Amino acid sequence: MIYKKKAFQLLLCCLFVYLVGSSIATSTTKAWFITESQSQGKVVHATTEDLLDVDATVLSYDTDCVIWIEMKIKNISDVAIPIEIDERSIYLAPGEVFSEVFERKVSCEANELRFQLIGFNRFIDEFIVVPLQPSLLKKTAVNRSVDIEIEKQVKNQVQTPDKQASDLHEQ
Amino acid sequence: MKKWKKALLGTTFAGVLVASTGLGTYAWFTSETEAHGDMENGVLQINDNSNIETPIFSGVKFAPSQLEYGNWVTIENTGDLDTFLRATYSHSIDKASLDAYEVGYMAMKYTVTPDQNTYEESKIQLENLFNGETNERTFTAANTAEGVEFSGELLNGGNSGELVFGEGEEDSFWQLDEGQYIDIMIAIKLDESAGNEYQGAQYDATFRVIGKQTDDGAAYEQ
Repeated sequence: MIYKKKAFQLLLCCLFVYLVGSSIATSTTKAWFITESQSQGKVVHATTEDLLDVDATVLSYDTDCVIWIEMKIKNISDVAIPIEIDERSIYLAPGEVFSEVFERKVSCEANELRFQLIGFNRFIDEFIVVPLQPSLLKKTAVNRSVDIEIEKQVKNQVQTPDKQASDLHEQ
Repeated sequence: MKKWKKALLGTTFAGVLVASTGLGTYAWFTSETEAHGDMENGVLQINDNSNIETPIFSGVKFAPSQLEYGNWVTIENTGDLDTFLRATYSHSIDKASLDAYEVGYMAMKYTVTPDQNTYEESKIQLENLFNGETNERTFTAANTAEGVEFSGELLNGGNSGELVFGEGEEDSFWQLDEGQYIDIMIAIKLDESAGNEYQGAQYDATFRVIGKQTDDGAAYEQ
């Protein structure tokens, strides 16, 4: 019985020596040379303000709370941008300007008017908020027209930069 | 008396034996020679074990459908051992998903720096991978006159954060011998379908190259 116990202890001892030895041997096989180099990069994505210059102004408050709004949207990026506004789809090339006058009948109590602007596949998806003057709207409710600008311009076209330049030249 | 004689005789014999042994050792011919040797380890090293200072790209106002070209960055074998390279690209975005991005690269391997036209042609090939009519997603070629090898690929790893550009093996593009260089340009494209969640997001990337020995059993990790 004593011999068996001693034999077992000897076996354990041998196993321990084997494991320690093999782990040392294994670790030495990892002594390969390696070398490394790396580089970083960063890109910040555009916002609507980086891509489009949007300008919306009220031209006039017409009778019975009808208003005329001029909308100008210019593509200030270097990629073509498909946009949708007021159920119209336009493809704006870099530098191109969309300009249109919208007629809207609004509540005589309204203090703002919203247009939904969508660009690309909803990468641009926001409202253009046009502030209104309720005091002027109330005046129109009694059948008076209030002109904000001298001329009421009704445009319904997409102007290119070249077209704009030629218009200026003609003027 | 007999005992004295025996003792004397034994002592004398032992003395003669010791004396003759001592004298005899001087009579052997000897000869000696030595050889010395020094062995220096080879040096496995790319870019002097330093990081590349030039950023792979740096852009702002990145929009859907836009292709952002990076800078040419160089991997140089600055050691005296040939090496197998493992080139990987890790990317992340602070919001939204990575599956709207396509990543492409064009790499040139050479010993003598190619002319500017070769760089420009490589950039055109990179653009063709994204926008070309052939829908090929890989490009390999060799300009034997210039001694340049080309390798390019367009990858879309879905939402995976790491893309493998190449892994060296015998006679492959990603084996960089002593004195050779690889110049690589990386470009990324955001798909047109990218939604509003990508607005203003920040996209970060790391291009990493590890070199290992070309011997059997060598590993990229220690």
